[in-house]
Amino acid sequence: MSAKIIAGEADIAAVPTNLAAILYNRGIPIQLAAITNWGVMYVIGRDSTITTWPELKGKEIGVTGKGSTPDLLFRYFLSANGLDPEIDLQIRYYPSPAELAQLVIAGKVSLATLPEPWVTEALARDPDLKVLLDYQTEWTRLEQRNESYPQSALVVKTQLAAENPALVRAFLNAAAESNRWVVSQPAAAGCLAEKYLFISAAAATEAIPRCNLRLVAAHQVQPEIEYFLEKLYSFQPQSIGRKIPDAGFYLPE
Amino acid sequence: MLGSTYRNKVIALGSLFTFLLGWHGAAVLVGKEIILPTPAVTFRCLFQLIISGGFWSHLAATLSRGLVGFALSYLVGLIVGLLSGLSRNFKAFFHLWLTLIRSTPTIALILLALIWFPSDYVTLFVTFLVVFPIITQNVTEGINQVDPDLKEMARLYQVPFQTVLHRMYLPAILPYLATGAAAGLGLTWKVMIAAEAIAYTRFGIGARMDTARTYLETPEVFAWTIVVIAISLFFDRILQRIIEKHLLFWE
Amino acid sequence: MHKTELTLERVTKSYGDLLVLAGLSLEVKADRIVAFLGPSGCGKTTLLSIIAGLKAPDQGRVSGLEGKAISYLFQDPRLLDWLTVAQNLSFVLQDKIPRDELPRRINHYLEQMEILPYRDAYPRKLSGGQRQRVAMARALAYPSRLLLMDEPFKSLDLSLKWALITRFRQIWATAPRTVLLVTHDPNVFGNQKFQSRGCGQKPGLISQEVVHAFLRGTNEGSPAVHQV
Repeated sequence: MSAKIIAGEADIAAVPTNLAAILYNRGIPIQLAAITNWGVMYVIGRDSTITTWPELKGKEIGVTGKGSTPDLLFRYFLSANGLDPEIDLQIRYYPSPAELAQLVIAGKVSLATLPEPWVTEALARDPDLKVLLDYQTEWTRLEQRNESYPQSALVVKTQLAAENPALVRAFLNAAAESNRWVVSQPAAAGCLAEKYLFISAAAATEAIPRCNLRLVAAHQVQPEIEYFLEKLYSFQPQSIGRKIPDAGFYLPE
Repeated sequence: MLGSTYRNKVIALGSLFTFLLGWHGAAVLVGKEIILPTPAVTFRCLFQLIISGGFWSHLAATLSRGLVGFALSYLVGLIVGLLSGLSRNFKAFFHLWLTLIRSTPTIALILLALIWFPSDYVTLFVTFLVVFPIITQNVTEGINQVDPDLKEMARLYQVPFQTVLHRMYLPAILPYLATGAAAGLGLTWKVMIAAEAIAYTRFGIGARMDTARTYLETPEVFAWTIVVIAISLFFDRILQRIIEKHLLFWE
Repeated sequence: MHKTELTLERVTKSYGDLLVLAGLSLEVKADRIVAFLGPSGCGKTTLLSIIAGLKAPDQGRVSGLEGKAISYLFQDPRLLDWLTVAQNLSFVLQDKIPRDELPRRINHYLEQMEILPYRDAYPRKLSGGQRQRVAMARALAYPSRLLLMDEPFKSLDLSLKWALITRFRQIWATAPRTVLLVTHDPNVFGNQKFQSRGCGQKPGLISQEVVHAFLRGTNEGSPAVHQV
C-alpha cells in the first residue's frame, strides 16, 4: 500500500494514521482527510481472571506487528500500569494477525493481542476465548480524553484536493454515509463483508460494534490527532516519521 | 607480477567508484529519499547506526547465529554426505527427505518454524535446513567423483576402511568441501537475515531492517544492507585464504 | 622351490554369449614369472580379475590363494595425488607392517626403483615413467608372495619400458616371488636385447617363463593353456 501511495498511483487511500504522518514527513504530497475508526485492538484469552492490565504480569502473550501503532500502544499501556515489557512478561511476535488468530484458536497460544475482525473470528471458533482487555477504554482512561485514539485514516493526494475539492468533498460525504450505514445495519453489512472480504457474515456483524467505526473529517478532530501523534512520537519518533507533522498535514474544509 | 595485482586493485576501485557514481545519479533522478537514498545519506545513516548504542549487539547476534547455524549445517552435511556417498542404501533412503527439504520454499519453513519454536531457534532451524542439503550434495558428489581406479587399488591392496576414509576420501573431497563452504556460508547470511526479520528476534540485523521498513526509513534499510554485504564479503575472503593455503598444496 | 603357489581348475567365464575363458586349467609354481600373452581383448585381464578376486568364474575355481596377500601393478600408476611418494607407499603399508619398520622399508624399495630422491615429492610433479616406478615400488614393498601385473609397461615409451623391465628383473632375481604378468607385447619377454641382459646366469629361464595362452576359441590355436 505504501508503495502505491509513494508511486502516486492512489488518489485516495486508507492507511494507519501514523503511516500517513510518516509519508507526509517524507515529502509525499498527501494530506490527512478523515479518521475512519477509533481503535480496533483487544487482548483476548482463556484466562478470565485477567481483568486489568497489571494482571498480565508473568504471562506469555502473542503480539503482531512489531513497531507498529498497536505494538507501541501495548507497550505504553504496560508501562503505564507498572509493568516492564521486557521483564514482566514474555512477548512473542508473529508476522500477521491471521496467523496469530489461528494459533490462538488451535490452543497453541493462550493469550494474544489482536485487531478486529480476527478477535471475533477467534471468539466464534472457540467459546472458551473471551475479550479480556480493551485498548480503547484504556486509552481514554489513561489519557483522560473523550475519544479513543484515531487509529485509521483516509489520505488524499494534495494535488487532487487542490484541483478538485468538490470531488473530494463528495467522496468524504459518501464515505461518512456508508460508515454510518454499516454501524446502523450490521446484519446487512455483514453479508456484504462476507461477499467482499474474507470474513463470515456472522463474525462481521458481531465485530462491527467493536470496530469503533466513525468517520470524521480530520480538521474537526485535529487536536485528538495531534495529541495521538505526539504521544506516538514520545514512544518512538520514527513511528510518525521523526517529527510532528505541521499544519499543512491536515486537509482544511 | 606485482604489476598485475596493482592493476587488479585499481580496476576494482574504479568499478566501485563507477557504481557509487551511478547510484548517486539514480538517487538524484528519483528525488525521493524514501525510495532511493543517495550514497551520502546512506553512509551518514550507517555512521549514525554504528555510533548509536546497540549496533554491536545486533551485529554480534546475527554473526553468532550465522556462524553457529553454518557450523552445525556443515558438520551434519559432512556426515550425511559421507554416508550417502559411501552407502547406496543410505543414499536411496535419504533421498526423499533431502528432496522434500530442498523443495520447500524458505518462507514456508520460516512460518512453520515460527509456530514450533521460539524466535531465536527459528533462525537456526531455518538456516540449518536450507544450508545443510547443499553441503551434503557437495560431499556426496565429491565421494562419487573419486577415481574408481583408486578405489579398486585400495580394495585390492586390502587397505582397511578407516585408512581409506582418512587418507583417500577425505582429502579427495576437500575441493568439494571448499565449494560447499563458500556457497553455504553466503546463503547462510541471506537466510538468517530473512528469518530474523520475520521472527522478530530481539537482537539481530534482520529484525532491525524490518523495523526500519515498517517506519519507511529507507536509508536505514540500505545501511543495514551494506552491513550484511560487508559481513558476507569478509567471511568469503577468509574462506578463500583458507582454501588457498590448505587445499591446493599438491598441484 | 617347486611348491605350487596357486592352481586354476577349469576356469570358465562368459559375458553373455561371449565365451572368454573356456575351461582353463593351470598350475603356477612358486617364485616363477608367468606371462599371459595375447592380443587385446582375448580375456587376459578377465583372468587376472578372477585371480584377484574381483570377478567370479562361471565354472571352475582358483585355489591356493586363501589368506595370501597380493600386490598389484596396473597399466596406470594409480597414485593418490595429495600424498607424497613415500606417503603413497605408506598408504598401503601402514596397517600391514609395524610402524617403526615403515620408513626403512619404504626407503629401501624407493632406492631399488631409483627414485629415492623424490620421496617427498607429489605425483603431479613427476613424469609418467617415474610415477610407474613409484607404483612398482609400492607393489614390491607390499608384503606379498604374489604379484599380479596387468600391462604395466604399456603406456611407457620404448626406452623407459626397457629400463623398467630390466630393473624389475634385477630386483626379482635377488628376491624372487611369484609373478603373473599379462601383456600383449611378446617383446617384453622374447626380445633378444632383453635376453642378453642380466639373465645369463640362468639359461633357459626365458623359455620356462613364457606361457602362450590363446584364451578365446575364435583365435587360431586351442583355448587351452600351454604350460610352463
